Amino acid sequence: MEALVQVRDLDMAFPAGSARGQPVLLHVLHKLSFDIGPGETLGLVGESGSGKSTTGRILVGLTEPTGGSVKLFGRSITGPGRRASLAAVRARLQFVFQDPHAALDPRLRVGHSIAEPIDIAGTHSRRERNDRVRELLELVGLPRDSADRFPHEFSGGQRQRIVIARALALAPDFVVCDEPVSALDVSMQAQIINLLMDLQQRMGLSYLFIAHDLAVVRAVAQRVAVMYAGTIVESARREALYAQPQHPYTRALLDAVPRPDPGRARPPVVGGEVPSLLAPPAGCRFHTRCPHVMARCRSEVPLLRETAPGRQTACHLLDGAPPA
Amino acid sequence: MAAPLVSLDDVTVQFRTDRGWTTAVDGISFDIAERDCVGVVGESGSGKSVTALSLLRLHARGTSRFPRGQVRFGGQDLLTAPERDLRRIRGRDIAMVFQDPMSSLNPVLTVCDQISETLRLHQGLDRATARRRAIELLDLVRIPDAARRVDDYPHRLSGGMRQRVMIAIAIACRPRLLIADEPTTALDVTIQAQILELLRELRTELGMAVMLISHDLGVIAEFADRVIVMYAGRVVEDAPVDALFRSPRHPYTEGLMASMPALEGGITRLYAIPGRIPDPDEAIAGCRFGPRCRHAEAICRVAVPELLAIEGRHRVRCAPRTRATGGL
Amino acid sequence: MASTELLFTPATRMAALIRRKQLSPVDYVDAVLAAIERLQPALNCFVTVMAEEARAAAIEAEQAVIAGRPLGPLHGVPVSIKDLIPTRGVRTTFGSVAFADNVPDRDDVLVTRLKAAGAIVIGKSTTPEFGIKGQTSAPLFGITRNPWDLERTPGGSSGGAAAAVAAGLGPLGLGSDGAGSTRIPAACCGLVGLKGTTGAVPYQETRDAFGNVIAAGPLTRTIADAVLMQSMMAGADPLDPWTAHAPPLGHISPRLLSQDLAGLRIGYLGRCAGKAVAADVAANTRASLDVLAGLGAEVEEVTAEIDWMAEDQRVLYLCSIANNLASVVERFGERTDPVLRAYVAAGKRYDIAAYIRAINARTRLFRAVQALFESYDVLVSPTLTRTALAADFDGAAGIVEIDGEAVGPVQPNWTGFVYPFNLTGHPALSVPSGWGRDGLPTGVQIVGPRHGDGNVLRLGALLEQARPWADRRPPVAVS
Repeated sequence: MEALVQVRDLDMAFPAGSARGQPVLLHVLHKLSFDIGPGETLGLVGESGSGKSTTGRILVGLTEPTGGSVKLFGRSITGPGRRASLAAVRARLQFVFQDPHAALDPRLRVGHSIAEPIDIAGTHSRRERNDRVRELLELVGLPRDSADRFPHEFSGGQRQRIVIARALALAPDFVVCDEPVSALDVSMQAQIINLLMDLQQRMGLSYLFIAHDLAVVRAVAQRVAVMYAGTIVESARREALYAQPQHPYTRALLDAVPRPDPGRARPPVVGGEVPSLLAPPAGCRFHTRCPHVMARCRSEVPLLRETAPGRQTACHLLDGAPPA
Repeated sequence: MAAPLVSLDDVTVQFRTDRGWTTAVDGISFDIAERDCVGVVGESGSGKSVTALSLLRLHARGTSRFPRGQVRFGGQDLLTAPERDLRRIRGRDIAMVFQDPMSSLNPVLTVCDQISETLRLHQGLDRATARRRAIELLDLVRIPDAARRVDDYPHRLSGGMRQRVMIAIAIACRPRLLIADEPTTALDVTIQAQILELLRELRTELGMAVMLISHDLGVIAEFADRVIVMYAGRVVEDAPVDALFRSPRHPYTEGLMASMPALEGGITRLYAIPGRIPDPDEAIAGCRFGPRCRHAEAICRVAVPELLAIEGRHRVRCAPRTRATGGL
Repeated sequence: MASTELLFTPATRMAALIRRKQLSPVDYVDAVLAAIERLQPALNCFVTVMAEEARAAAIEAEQAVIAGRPLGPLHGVPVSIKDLIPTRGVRTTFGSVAFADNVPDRDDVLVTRLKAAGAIVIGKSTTPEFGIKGQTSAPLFGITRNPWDLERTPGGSSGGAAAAVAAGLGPLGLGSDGAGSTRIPAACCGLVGLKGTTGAVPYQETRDAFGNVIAAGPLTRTIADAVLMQSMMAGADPLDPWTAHAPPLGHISPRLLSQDLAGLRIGYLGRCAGKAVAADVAANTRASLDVLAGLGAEVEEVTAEIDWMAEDQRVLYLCSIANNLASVVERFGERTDPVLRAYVAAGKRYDIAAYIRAINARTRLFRAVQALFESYDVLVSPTLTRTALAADFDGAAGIVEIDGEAVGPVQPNWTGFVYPFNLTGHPALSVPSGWGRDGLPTGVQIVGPRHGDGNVLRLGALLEQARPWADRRPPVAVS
């Protein structure tokens, strides 16, 4: 299966002021690599400061990375020729962000917002455009008369449907979804998750699905990458990752999620906080909180390496030993 | 049975809007016993926070009113008590922690100033004693290096640390009831686990009752002894935590649980409750969940069901589910 | 709660107050009995007031509350029973001198079920002799009057129940409807009246169970009370074959769950066999339809040609009266209602061939109405062509006037919209549509497919929510 999205050694650093005359860099991404195949969903999960949203913004061309390469549909959108490549892949690429309120112009009728990508592309006649808007509304389960209404007449869940309809206007192949359901109530969340899955089935979409909620990611992504402080610490097929997490951080993250099961024996809580990216810890970035920390974790950066077919983990504990 | 610490009886809160008075919570009744931990769970518009605020009468004056109901605490009705009495009760007997610590903390005061303020107001401590006590409190909420941290300004602290400071302020006067409104919602999951653990420990150490408000059934399951489920301004289910999660009886609670993605077990399509959460001023005849309920009968869509006991301390507001015990 | 508030509060709410120990069933029943005592002379809506029995039941009900025993949904709520329906140990006259001293030794199953739900029977409400006409008067008790205007009839034949409920004399009245007898008084008195699908609630009191056209049903001020009362009475009964496989009452289609009626097709029946509809009634019906259209329903006037078989309806109706009641008329002569005597005489003129033709016509009517439900989800019509007739209107020979014009006999010119659905067995509900120019209530009828009782009630609830009627009280009531 050829990768639709190919990310290699992605680096991202922002200048964040200076200290003692030296510029200080905020290293938000460090040597990130992953692929996404056609019709596949990769879940990117992590806490704040993990760099997952920055990754999403780079993939849709909103931010240029400071290092590494990104290939979309076989074209590199990093380095020289970035602009031309982005223009060429633009129509096949869309995004859905967390806040459906901010994503829609309150003064524009919904039909207008949905048709925006079509109007920009200038590919449809007036009639084709209006037919397409109606088709899209139906696709995302909104009443046909929604086109003439304004965003404030819709609930949060319905607004996210509108945003999704707009994202699908030009029939993209790849959609980056950054926390698309985290602003929604649980009962609305399930509706939108089901909608995204149905659309994937019908249209063969690929998703990069970014979320902090591990359970939501499990429901939608076939493969999951766990990020911590700008690095991927573990990536695996969903069944393996959730049933047998290999990285101590993945395990801690899973353990920390409260379950709707009052009888559950609560595992010990991992201490500490996410380190500052201005001065990330040497060695493994998780070593300051890791319950299994060893001497070498403090100095030597663990590399993301294959521990089983289709499974990669960056942890010294797995060195030499067969995968747990 | 001992008298409850706080008793809500038919509490109803209305807000003024362009279109007149809108009922945000409608006839809420439940008790909180000493040392009890009551979880209140619901989605937006359920009225869970409005209910919590009514315990301290913290709604904006002039634009809110209580057409009926009582909140009984220490022989007083908090909905009608003089403002002077309430000021004494707030912070001393009943304290509150909110979702967003940044908006509750004063950015130009140090942590020490903010904790001392409460101590000096309610306990009349002098500056030096208050400072000593503030450091003790930061220790109590497991802030490392408390003696140094006490002089920090809020912006220097992480989200988790700020929430710890808020908790320190809340417990400063050893309240009998701590109201925690989405205390971990803005936090990362590992920090959430730390804060929940802290609250659990403090609750035991200080012997206080806790009312925990959350949209997250997982948080509620791991924290509460008893759970109140709210929907569109009404209590729809009230049960001991084990009973609620083992056998939810209201179709809304069932739907909510079924629509939660899980971390264990098979991966199947989620159940999605159809329709949407109603606006507070939306006129809905009968049960407010009726328009979305797959079990609704004609009676559900015309008559307001009552919250009735089905077994033991398990109460549910659903006509079909309470028929055997006197429901409609 | 002031006693007048108490009399006009819906049963659902009163039952809730009783269960919460905020209202004593004894106080409640006492208040209702006191009101009956004051208004019975003017309205004459009870044949028998069961003051003692009701008080005793209320005391027992109160003890059950105190003892924490399981309480039924109608616990402590007063209900009146139409005097066509037998009550054990309580005189049941069928409105006739012939049964003036009839004391049954059994309760009808509906009475049993209402009592089991906790309701307290407060009396037997008046009915014309054997329920044969749309006005409520009989030699046995005289004339029952309408609390909206004492010169008018409360309708019939469940006129006593309707007058009582409208005047605040108990929130629930049990009526029965064999040719509109629950819906007619509901429309005359500004109430909710339901004739469910044949078999939705059992009817034990018919002699012809297989050909049955009668359904007992609630007369109430609110839809919720009607649904509650009807659900307490629903369910199979061995004496009524139609109840055997009737689905549980009250289920509604998912389409009607939300507030949005988009896609619902309503057929508006502007005319039946009658010649005219009063302008105020037509306008009020339109206003009700506008409410449903405003919620997204598509309203279309029914243009299909329906043979309402007015003459065959008359044959079925009169033959049944003549052949079942001739012996009463022979024996009691002048002491029976002249209308009954006229009907018996008229019915005797039909031969068996005419009767068989009429039975066959009933099947054709059923099929014609059933076919309408291919195109429409529900039918909506006025309940009656005009407001209540005079209290002393002659049901046999009187000519109905509409907007100043004499149009013809009551059937079909007043009640033509209601009887067809007894013959076809479809559920039909009457709810208030407003008030006429004379200040009397008008009704709108909602008819659904068989066993669509819940859907019909749900539409009634949407009308009630948009245009509430229960707050308006008749001039003759305790104030």
